[in-house]
Amino acid sequence: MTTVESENPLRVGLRRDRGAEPCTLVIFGASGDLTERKLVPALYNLQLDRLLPSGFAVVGVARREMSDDAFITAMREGTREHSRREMSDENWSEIAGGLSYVATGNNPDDYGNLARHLDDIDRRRGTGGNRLFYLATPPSAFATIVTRLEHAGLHRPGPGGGWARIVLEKPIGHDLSSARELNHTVNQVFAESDVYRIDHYLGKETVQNLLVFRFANAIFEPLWNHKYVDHVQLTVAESIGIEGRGRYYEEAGTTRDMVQNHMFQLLCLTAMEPPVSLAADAIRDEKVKVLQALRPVVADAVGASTVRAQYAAGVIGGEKVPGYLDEPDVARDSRTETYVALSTYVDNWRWAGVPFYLRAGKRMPKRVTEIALRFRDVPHHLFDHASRPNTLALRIQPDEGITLKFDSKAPGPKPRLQPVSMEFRYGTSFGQQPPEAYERLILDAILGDSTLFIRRDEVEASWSHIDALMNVWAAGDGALPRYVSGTWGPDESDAMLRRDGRLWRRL
Amino acid sequence: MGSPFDVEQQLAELWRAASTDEQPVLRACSMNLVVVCDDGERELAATTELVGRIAETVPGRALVVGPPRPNGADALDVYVSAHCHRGAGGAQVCSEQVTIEPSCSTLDRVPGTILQLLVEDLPVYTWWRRRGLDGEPLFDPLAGLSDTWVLNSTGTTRPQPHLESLRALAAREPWPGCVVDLAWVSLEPWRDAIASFFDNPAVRPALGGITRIAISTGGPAAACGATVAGAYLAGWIASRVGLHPEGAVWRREDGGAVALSLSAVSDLEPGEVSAVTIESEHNDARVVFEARSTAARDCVSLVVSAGAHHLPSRRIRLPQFDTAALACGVVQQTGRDAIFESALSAAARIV
Repeated sequence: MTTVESENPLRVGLRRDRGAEPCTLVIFGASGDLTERKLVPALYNLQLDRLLPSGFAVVGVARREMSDDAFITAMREGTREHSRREMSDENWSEIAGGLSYVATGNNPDDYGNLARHLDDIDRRRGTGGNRLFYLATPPSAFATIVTRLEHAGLHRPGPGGGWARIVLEKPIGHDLSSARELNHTVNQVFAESDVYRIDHYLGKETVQNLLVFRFANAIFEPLWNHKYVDHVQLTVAESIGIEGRGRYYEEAGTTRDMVQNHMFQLLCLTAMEPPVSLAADAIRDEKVKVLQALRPVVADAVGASTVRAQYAAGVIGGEKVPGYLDEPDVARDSRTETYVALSTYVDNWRWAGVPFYLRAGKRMPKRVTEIALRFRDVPHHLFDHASRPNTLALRIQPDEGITLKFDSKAPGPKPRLQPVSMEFRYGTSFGQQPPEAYERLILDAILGDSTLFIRRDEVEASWSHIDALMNVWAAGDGALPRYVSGTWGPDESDAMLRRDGRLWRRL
Repeated sequence: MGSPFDVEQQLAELWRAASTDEQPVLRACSMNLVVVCDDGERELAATTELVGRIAETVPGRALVVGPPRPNGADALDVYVSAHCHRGAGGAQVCSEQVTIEPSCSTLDRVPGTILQLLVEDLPVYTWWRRRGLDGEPLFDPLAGLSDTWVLNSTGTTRPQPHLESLRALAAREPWPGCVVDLAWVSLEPWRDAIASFFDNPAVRPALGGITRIAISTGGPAAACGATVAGAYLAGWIASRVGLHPEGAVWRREDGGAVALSLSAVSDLEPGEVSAVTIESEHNDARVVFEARSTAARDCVSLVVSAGAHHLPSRRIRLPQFDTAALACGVVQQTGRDAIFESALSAAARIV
């Protein structure tokens, strides 16, 4: 038997084996897209799976004046449109009963109203003073909200005890100094263990499967090093453009939008050493070591090891699309990249001399995220036709799965080699739909499990590397290279790999 | 019947015929599912339908053993078929089924045939859809080749000997396999609801002071009022909070007596739970935790009362399970379920 005092013995072995304590989720930015498209649909699906705690309540907070009913109606429509599973009014009513809305303007007293509202929920729904604050607002509002939460005493648990946690959406800062400043502000109010920085890539099943694939299968880990791996390619390609977000994108660019967070997280999970346990900090300790081992940026080498470019007009899926410079809210002389490729090294024992090639771009021929390990060639070629190196590709999205490419003898009298692939697809082997990333992440935050969230030192280590790159880029001038929309990026990117005697994978 | 090699050839031909260049068929196999049908005219068709639904979630090779035909002479008919559905990305994903139809006189050849047709190195789940275990000629040989033995005790009319047989099977040595009872699996929402009383750490010490557990369930009752579902819930609570029997009395770890009361409700379906009440003495106060099915039987209402003080009641929706959905969940599990085995062991003593 398990100790009654330490954990709930009746929870052990249940599918919902981590019993979440009753709590209130407070969403700042409740009138925004993220809340309607992702957060509330995720909550609906968690409720369907009976994964939310009893008494669970959601308080939407935004500037706009809105009644509870109007908020509930908006969220119901959003859920109907965006839930991965069909919405039924019957199931919706279970979550709707715990929804309410509070408008906050510039008046700090508004947070006093919020505090009283939360106390009232504690009394009515037995949420025990447990609060999870989710900041789904523009990052510029983070510091103000955190400070006002502190002034209203909401950074501490409610009167009945419990806990207070905060979830921050990306981006965490615009560069190293702003990230440090924000982290400092947040950590003055909330302890680091109560801060949950989201990178929704980490909520994806296939990203989590990286750990299982590497550390639960004995056959791959022995090959996972410089002795057998020639190089690693990480690709995050999107077929969409900036989708009307010119103002945001001009400030961000692909490097800040994709590389600093998502791609560096994928890089960390690919390159990290086995953690001593699955505890949050054990995993995050290993991830941060990878970031610390990234080869420092040397200004003179940046030109040869990085490529930035912008998409030009082209055709995607049979439709003409404009070039980046013709998009609304984009400066005609913009030097913001919509494509970036870079070559880097993880300078440690395991990965010595193995290049990691990263590329991310918009208006690529298709949407695909994958990690590919290209293995070294055989030491001696026995056959007339040169064999092709083996490749292990982990597809993150879409068609999540794993492919191993190897050579096989084609039928016939001659030893003719033909590449074949062995495929594992999630959709084929597991009939059920995987949960959305936000479902997993919200649930983990409620449960107090920070494994899939980014720690402060991770954020700052990745910004440190990106800052160094961006400083070199900022010193340059002239227009960026262009690539035609619907292609795999500029020639310069292919040339970067060709110089190393390698090629990008054709996806 | 052809040899197992012939059957494999037939399966290969089936896949060749199903695939075209434009629309290849994706095959996936993550388990062997042996299903032993109960007697009855519609049983084989119903089982095939269930297997098809399971294949949509967990692809594998199904080996379905039809009810023995009394006048089938020496025949052991074996034939192949496929279950296909549209998978992710619109691709057609297929699983295979081998149906084995023995006669009474060829029943003894079934285990050997199954053994030859199992996909190597994949787990073997045997779903025993027949009513009893004892005296069944296929029981012992199939248990020996199974990693997981699945059955459904919901309608059992004699819980005591049945649970005792199951307990003996689960404890069988040497046997690397495990037992899963769908009657137990279907209680998970109730277990979850009951567990939720104690998610709050402040309430948890009440588990150490339990004085009474009362459970009422639907279905055929034993003389003591116990059904399999009731016995499982009582056995689960008892084993998780450390109750132990002392003669006819169940005691807490501190020696205090706990009254166990099981009753059967005749107007409920077998396996349905009507109410679970746990009474506890904690800090000199009597606390009552009551989980009760609502009139529509689609929700469980949770009420906690301490003396005259009642905390706000909560309702949790009960998911509507069917047999295929339950079985799908089971064939995605591997390994022994220690919680079930402890609950089974206690349940067998309670009834």
